[in-house]
Amino acid sequence: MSKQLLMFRFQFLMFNSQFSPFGKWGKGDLRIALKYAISLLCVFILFIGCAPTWNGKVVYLDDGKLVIKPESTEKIKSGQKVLIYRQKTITHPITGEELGMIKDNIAEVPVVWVREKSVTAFAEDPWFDMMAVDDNAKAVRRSVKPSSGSVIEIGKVMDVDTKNRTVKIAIDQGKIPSSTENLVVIKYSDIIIDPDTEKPIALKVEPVATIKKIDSSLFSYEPVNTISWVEIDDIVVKRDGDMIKESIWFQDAPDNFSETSLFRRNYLKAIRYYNSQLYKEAIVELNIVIQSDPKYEDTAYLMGMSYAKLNRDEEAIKFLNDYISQNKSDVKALIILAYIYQKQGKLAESADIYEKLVDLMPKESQLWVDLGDIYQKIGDKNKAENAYKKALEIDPNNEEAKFEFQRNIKQ
Amino acid sequence: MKNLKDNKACRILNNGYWMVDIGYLNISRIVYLIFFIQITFIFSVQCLAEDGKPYLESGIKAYDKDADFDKTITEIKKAIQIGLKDKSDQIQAHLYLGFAYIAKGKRVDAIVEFAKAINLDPDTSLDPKIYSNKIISVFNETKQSLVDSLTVVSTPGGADVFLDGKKVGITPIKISGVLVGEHSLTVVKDYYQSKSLTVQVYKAEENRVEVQLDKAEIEILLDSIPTGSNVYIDNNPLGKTPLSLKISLDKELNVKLSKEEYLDKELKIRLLPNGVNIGTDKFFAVKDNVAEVIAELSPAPAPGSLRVITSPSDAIVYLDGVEVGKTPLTMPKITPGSREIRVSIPNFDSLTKRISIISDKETVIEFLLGGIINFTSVPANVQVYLDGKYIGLTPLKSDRLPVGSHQIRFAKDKYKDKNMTVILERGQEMDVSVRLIPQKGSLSVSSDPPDAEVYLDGKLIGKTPLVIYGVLIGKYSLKITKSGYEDYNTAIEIAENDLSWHFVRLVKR
Repeated sequence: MSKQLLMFRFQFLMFNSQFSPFGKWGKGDLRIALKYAISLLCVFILFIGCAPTWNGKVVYLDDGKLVIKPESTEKIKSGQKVLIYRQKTITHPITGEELGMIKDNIAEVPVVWVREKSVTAFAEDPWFDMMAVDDNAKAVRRSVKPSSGSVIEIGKVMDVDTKNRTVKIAIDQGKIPSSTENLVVIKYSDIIIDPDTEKPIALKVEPVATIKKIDSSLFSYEPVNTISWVEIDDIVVKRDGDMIKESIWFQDAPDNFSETSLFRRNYLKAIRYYNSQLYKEAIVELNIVIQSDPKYEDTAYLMGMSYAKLNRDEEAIKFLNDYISQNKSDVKALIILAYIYQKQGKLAESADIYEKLVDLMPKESQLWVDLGDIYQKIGDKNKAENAYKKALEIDPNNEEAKFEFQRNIKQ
Repeated sequence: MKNLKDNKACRILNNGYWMVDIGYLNISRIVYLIFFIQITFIFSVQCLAEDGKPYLESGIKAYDKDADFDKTITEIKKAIQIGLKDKSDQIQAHLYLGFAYIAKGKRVDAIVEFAKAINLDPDTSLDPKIYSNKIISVFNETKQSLVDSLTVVSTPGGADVFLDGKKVGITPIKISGVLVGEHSLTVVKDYYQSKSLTVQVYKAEENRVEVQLDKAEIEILLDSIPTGSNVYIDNNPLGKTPLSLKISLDKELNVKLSKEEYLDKELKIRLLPNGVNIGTDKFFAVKDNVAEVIAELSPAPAPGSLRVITSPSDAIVYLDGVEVGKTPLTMPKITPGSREIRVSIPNFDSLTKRISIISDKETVIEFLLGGIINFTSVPANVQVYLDGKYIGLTPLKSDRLPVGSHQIRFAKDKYKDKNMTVILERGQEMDVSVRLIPQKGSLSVSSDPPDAEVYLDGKLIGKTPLVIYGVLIGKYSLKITKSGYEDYNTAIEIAENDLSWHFVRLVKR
C-alpha cells in the first residue's frame, strides 16, 4: 500500500509542479533531482512515524470554507492539512458489474477550526469550486500555521430600536467583557445536517451588526451590510484573534437545536414591519418563513392580515382560511375574515364565520347583534330575530338587541 | 179680495169709452145707431120727468090684457121718453114695444127694439113656452145678428177673465154670446199684473185674444217684534225694521234680522199661492199686492265668554269666518249658540271646530296645531337634525311641528348617520325610534411572554392573549404591563370593520 501511495505522490508532484517547494522542475538537472528525492524520502519517513491520520466527509461548503464531519475529532488540530478526494466506482459498461474503485484527489486544505462535532477547513479557488458535499476527507502529514482566536457568547439582544439604531443587550452573568470592542451580533444563517443521523451537527454563523457600548446595557449598532438587521433574541458575541475578520464561521449545533431558530428572525422582523405598517415588507419576510415552515406560529394569519391591510382580499382570505383550518378556534383570524367577507358583500360567508365566533366567544352578546344585523341584510328575519334573542339571553341589557328584537316583533 | 176685483173691473169699465162706427149699413149697425140715439134720448128725458114706469105698466097692460097694440106702442114710447130707472124695466119696455110691433107687422121696428133690449143685457132671453113662435123667431134672429164668441187664452193660464167689468170665467175660456163690437177685457191673476185691453168682436170671425201676464211685485212690509232690528239680505245690510221689500213669484229672499240682546233670526221669504211664507208654517196674506210680515225675535240669552288657546300660540282666530285676533285670545261677550272657530298659522296648520257658547260661562277651547315627534335612539345622546337644523340630543320631544314631510338626520360620533323622511299628520304624536349602527372594529393583543395586563385608555380590559370584539373606532392608548417587564405604551387606532392586531414583546427590566 505504501508503495502505491509513493507512486501516486510522485506522479502527483510531477504533474503539479506548483506544489513543489522548489518551484519548476529543472530540466536535466539530475543532481538537484536526486537531492530532492532524498529529502523527500526523509520527510516521508518522518511523516509515517508521527503524523495523525483521520477520515471524514465534506458536509457543507460556503464562502471558501468547508465543513467536514470527521469520524472522530480526537487527533485533529488546527493547521493540519486534509486531503479532499472523491471515490468513484467503475462499472462494466455492458454487464453493470462493479469492477473497482478510483480515487480522485482534489486538494489538500488546512483545518482552521476544530469543533466537537465538525471541522472547518479553508480552501482557495479553484479547488474550492471543485469540491462538493459528500467528498471524502483524509488527514495528511502536513501542517500550516494554526489559526487562533475565539468567539465567546456574552448575551442576547433584548430590544431593538431601529430608529435610533440602538439595542438593549442582556449580558449573561459572569460574561461581562473586559472591553466592548469586537462585539458583534450574530445570526445563525444555516443549519448543517449530519447526513448519517439527519440531525444538525453544525450551524453557520454570520455577524449581522457590530455594536458599540453606550451605557451598561444600551449599545449602538451598525449592520454589516445593507440586508442584515438586528433582531430580538439575536446572540451577541465577542470575537478575538483570527476570528475578528471572519464573515462566516461554523459552530456545533446544540442537540436540541430547532430549525425554526433560523427563520424566527424573519418572523419577528415581519411583525415589526407589520407594526410599522410596512405590510409589503412584512409579506416578503413572511414568505421566507412560510417556505421553511408553512405552519410556523401564526405566519399564515400575519400573511392574511398584511394582505388585508393592502386590500388584497383574495390573498388575505386564502391565507386566513389556511390558518383557520389549522387553528379552528382562533377568534382573531375569524374576526378579520368575517370583516373581509362583509366588506366584499359576501354576507352568507360572513354569517357562517359569525356562527363559529358565537360558539367561541359565548359571552359576547355583541357578536349575536352583528350576526342578527347580517341576517337582516340577507333577509332572513327568523334567523335575525333568533340572533337578537340570543344576544338578549346573554346580556338582557343590550340596548341594540332589545331595539332590534322589539322592532322585529312589531313587524 | 173678490170685492176688490169687482171694484177694479168696474173702475176699468167706467174709464172706458164708447165708440160707434156707422160706416156699415147692415142691420146690426142700424140697430146700433138707433140704440145710441135712444140712450141719448133717455138721458135727456130723465132730466125732464121723474119716472116713466106708470106708462110702461099701462103699455104692458094694454098689450097683455087689451091687445091694444097701438096703445102699447104709445104708452111704452112715452115711458121710454120719460125714462125708466130700472134696467129690467127698460129691457121690458123694449121687449114689449117689440112684441107690439110684431103684432102690428112691423118686423124691422121689432128687431130694433129687441136689439135695444139685448144691448142692455146680452143675456136677455125669451121663454118659448110663453111667447109665440113668431116672437121667438124674430128675437132669436135679432140676437143671432148681434153676438159671437170670444176666446181668451192667457200665459200662465187660470186667470180670471172680466168682460166689460163682469167676470165671465177663467182662462182658457171661450165666451159665447158676446155682442159684436168693442169690449173691454180684463185678465186678472194673483201675483201677476192685471192686463186690460179693448177687444173688437167681429161677427163670424174667430175672435181670439192671447194675453201674456207679467209677474207682479208684491210689497212686503217687514216688521219685527221688537221693531228696529237690523235687516240683512244675503248678508248685505239693508236698514232697520219696519221696512218695505219687494218680491215676486218664484223668488226667495234670504233675510236676516239681528238686534242686540236678541238672537239673530233668519227668514226665507217666499211668495206662495196661499200667501207669503217666511220659512215657517205661517203664511201672511197678501192684500192689494201688499203683505204685512211680522217676525218675532227671541231674546238672546246672556252672553258667554270664549277663550281660545293654541299650541303653538300666535295663531289667527276666526269666529264664524271673521278674524278676531291671535291666540291666546279671550272674548268676553259672545252670544250663546253654536259657533265655528278656526285657528290658523300660515304654512303650519289650520284647524276648525264647532263649539257651543253657553250663557254666563267661559268656554275654553284648545287647539293643538301640527304634531309632535318623539325621538328616541339606541344609543342615547344622538344628535337630531330636523329639516337640517340641530334640535338636540335624544331622547327628545320636539316642539309642535307643521304637518307634512320632515327630514330627520341622526348623527353621533363613531356611529353611522341615519337619514329618514317622515310625514307628520295633524294631532299626531309620532314616535321615531332608531338604532344607529356603531362604527366598530376589533382589538387583538398578544404579548411575549403572555399573561400581561392590557389597559385601553387606562382601563384594564384583560390579559394577553386578548381579543376584544366590537370596539368603537378611534384613537386609543394601549398599555401592556407585566411585573418584571417594562410597561409597553402605544397609541392605536381602531378602524371600522378592521382588526387592530398587536403583538408585543415585553422587555425585561
